[in-house]
Amino acid sequence: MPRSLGITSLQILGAIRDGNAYGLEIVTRTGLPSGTVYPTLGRLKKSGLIKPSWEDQRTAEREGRPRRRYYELSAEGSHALADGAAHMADVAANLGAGLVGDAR
Amino acid sequence: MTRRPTHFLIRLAAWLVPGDLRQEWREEWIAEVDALEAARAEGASALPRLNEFAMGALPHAVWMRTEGWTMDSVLQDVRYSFRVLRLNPGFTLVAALTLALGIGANASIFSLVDGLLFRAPAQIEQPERLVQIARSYESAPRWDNFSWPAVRTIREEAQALSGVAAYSGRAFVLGRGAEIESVLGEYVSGEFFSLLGV
Repeated sequence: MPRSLGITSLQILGAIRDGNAYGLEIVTRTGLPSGTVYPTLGRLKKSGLIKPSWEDQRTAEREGRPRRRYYELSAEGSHALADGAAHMADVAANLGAGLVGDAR
Repeated sequence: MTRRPTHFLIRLAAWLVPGDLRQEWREEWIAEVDALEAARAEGASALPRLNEFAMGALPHAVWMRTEGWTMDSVLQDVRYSFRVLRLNPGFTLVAALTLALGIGANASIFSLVDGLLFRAPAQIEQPERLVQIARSYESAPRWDNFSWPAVRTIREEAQALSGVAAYSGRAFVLGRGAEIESVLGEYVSGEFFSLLGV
């Protein structure tokens, strides 16, 4: 598992948390540029946090379009997302406390 | 934008992707832009623009090409290149000469352009203090000349400047009889040369 995930990686993991998603869906859900999303997907795949799989050819043919590549979280990816989200919550809480202290 | 230009861009970027991954990479990107185009046609909201989305294929392809690079693999490629060059001395000589000629020609042209266009002539005393004054209009954004009375007004009013000189380009006729020729020159005001320090 990677040492620590950046906010982009966490956003992408979060976008596919609820099931399969293909690239465009991830771009739309996260609002990140496609030039950021696809390389990050590649890195997450290499780290074993997500699993890509090709859609069944017959499904795509039935709908008259090319087959899509879907991404889903691996078990390790789910853990990484939970850990990363908790870490981000801590960071946000500390930041908030610091800001309140400064305001006084 | 029709589908064709985005497909063309993806096919072009695909050349950067390593050969064993290229077909699947292209298939995925084509499916993505087709999905986006279909969704836009159906009027779905909050979608990225087609062109911007397709442009993402380029950084992705570059990433695919470079993600496996390590210092060892780069050094291995360099060593392999040297071995191949040593085995083909004729090709190496032609390649080296071509490169030398290209680099030399580029350096010469750059020196010329740098000297003529980017730097003030060496005779000017303090080129960093020299400014050019001109005027432009919203309807005609190109720089325009001043009338002589306007130059005099600027000379009187411009407190920040140590002096103001004017010039105006003209074609002059030089020579006598059958040996006359037309040359380009400038009319300049009296303080022109002393202001430049020439």
